[in-house]
Amino acid sequence: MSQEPLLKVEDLKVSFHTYAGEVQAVRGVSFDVKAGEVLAIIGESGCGKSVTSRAIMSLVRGPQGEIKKGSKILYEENNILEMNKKEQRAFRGGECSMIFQDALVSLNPTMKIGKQIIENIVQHKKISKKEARQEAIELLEAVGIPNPEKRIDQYPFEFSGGMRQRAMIAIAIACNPKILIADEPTTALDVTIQAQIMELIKSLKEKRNTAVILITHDFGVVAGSANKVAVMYAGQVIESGSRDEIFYNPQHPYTLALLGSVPKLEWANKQLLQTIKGTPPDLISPPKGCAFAKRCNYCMNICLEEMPGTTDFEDGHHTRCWLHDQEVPESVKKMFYDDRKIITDNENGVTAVEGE
Amino acid sequence: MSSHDILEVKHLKKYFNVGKHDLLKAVDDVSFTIKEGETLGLVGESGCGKTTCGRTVVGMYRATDGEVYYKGQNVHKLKGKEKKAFNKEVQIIFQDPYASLDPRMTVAEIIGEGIEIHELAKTKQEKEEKIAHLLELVGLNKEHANRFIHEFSGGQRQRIGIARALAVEPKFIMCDEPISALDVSIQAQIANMLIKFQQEMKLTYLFIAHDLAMVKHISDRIAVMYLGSIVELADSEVLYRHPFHPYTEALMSAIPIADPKIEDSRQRIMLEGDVPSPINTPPGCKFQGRCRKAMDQCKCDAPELKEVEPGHFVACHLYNK
Repeated sequence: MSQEPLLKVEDLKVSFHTYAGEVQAVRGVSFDVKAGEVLAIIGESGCGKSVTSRAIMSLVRGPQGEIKKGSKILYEENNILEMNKKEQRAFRGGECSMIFQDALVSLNPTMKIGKQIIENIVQHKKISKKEARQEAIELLEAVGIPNPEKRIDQYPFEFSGGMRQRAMIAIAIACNPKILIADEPTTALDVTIQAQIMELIKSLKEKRNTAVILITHDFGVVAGSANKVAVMYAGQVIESGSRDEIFYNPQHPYTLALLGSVPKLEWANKQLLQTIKGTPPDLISPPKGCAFAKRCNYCMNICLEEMPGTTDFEDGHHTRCWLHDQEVPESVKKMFYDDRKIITDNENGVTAVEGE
Repeated sequence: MSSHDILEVKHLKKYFNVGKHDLLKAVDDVSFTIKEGETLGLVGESGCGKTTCGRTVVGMYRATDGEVYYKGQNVHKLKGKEKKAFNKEVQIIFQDPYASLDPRMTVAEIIGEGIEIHELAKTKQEKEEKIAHLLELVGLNKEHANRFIHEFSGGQRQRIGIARALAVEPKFIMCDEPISALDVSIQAQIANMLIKFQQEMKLTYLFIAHDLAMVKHISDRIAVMYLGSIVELADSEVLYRHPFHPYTEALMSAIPIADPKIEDSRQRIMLEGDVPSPINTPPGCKFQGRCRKAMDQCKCDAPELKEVEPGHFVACHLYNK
């Protein structure tokens, strides 16, 4: 797939002005998504992954929120940040829509499900309410809700968690968006329901050739659905690349540590998991060097002093880490690759997990 | 009950009255044992009754029927001194560290409360030393003792919750989703800590969670619950490699695995629909509505939990020969 990217984010910087000071939530994030592709943004809470997605939807508002000058979000070559209100409205919901984590909070409890879907259709398409209602029923059916004719006149509280998430997906895809942002769509759901919802998102992507930005903290979900992965830490993308590169050839100590902290089913029981010492830095006064340096096992002097530049590997795999600088002694690099072998070997070693 | 069992649950039932005629059978005839020093994992989807089961086992809820024996004593019949001794030996780590710690108490007060009640320290100084030691044990330091809960992150709060539970030198801890609310890297820290303490202090855990990979990692044996009943119970390795019950099979196949090669090649067993309501459940196997192997028999008789292989219990007519 060597087509033009549908959405391009360049050097996105978002800050929030609070009583304690300016929180630099997103500090220079760049990535792109093509049609029919799933980009997973993975990171821990507070790393700026949700703020990034909200900025794309123009949901970062003043006076507290500020998108810094020089940030660009290009949709088909147009900068969303420079659009006027009317254009933004057409983009949001029409071209690009979002599924939120908590469906119960995101749906209006006092409105019937049907009305919430119709609201979106009427907003963006010039059709009558009656036609819109018919369309809403079809949408509910498309997302796998049984008895859509009856369900359309029910309130969110009458739906189960998985059903609510389906209803929210129906609202999101109502206007055939080209981009779908899913902000932790399955975090609040049980595994069996999670599998259903991920399957639904994947089939929608294939049928409608939608670009999906999947925001999550679960490497399992990423492995099952993403094409590309961007790993975020303290407001920056510290590593990005194709799914297989990130899983089998991680180049950043943080990515490696995250992979090592998820227990694998084939690991021996009660073996100690790899942990990351400490906690993420305070983004009111972010460190001047690499943000991960204080928690990193391979930290060198330079890491504390200067921000690392981007190193490129094959297949659009980038990372921001001093380890790949030419002047770094081989012994330090070897330490990293030796440790990496332990974790990635463990993954490659066993492939026999329930065959049928 | 063999001599190694620390806890025995016999036909435990916990029903809640909801409305005039409706009965919610949160725990419906559950039996299991826990050996001293082992971890029993209790997994299931939300609403399956795993938390209610755990809470009834430690005596937080009164049982509707059935008995729980802790070291041979019926938990629900304890009174006075014996009850106090039981409360000291059995502790709970709660799911939500934001909601389970009192915001108006300092960390020292939270941890020290149990020490005072059970008179585990003779002097004030000894108590303070104990608190400082506990804080260090869970990876905090003694400067944290005079702070309030709102000053801590989620991971730190869970550490305080663990220190609080450990303060009274318990033998048995019911961990109710202790790591579900935390970030991945913090989950690993807390899981390691629980494993380490178990080995050092010879603790027994009842570990309730829905993160199956983590449960498998921590537990020796696992019980799978569905709508108030245990459908399968086995060694954690065996359960993951060779699940018998159709529900366990589906549950295992739904776990996302952080390995693209495995994810691309595996076939998912998709369960249709949601967990049905536990209010006024129809007769027969509770899973039959979603089961792909359901037979006629499943609609009328509820299967009993039977030992199919040594140590491997299943409640399913397929294995009931």
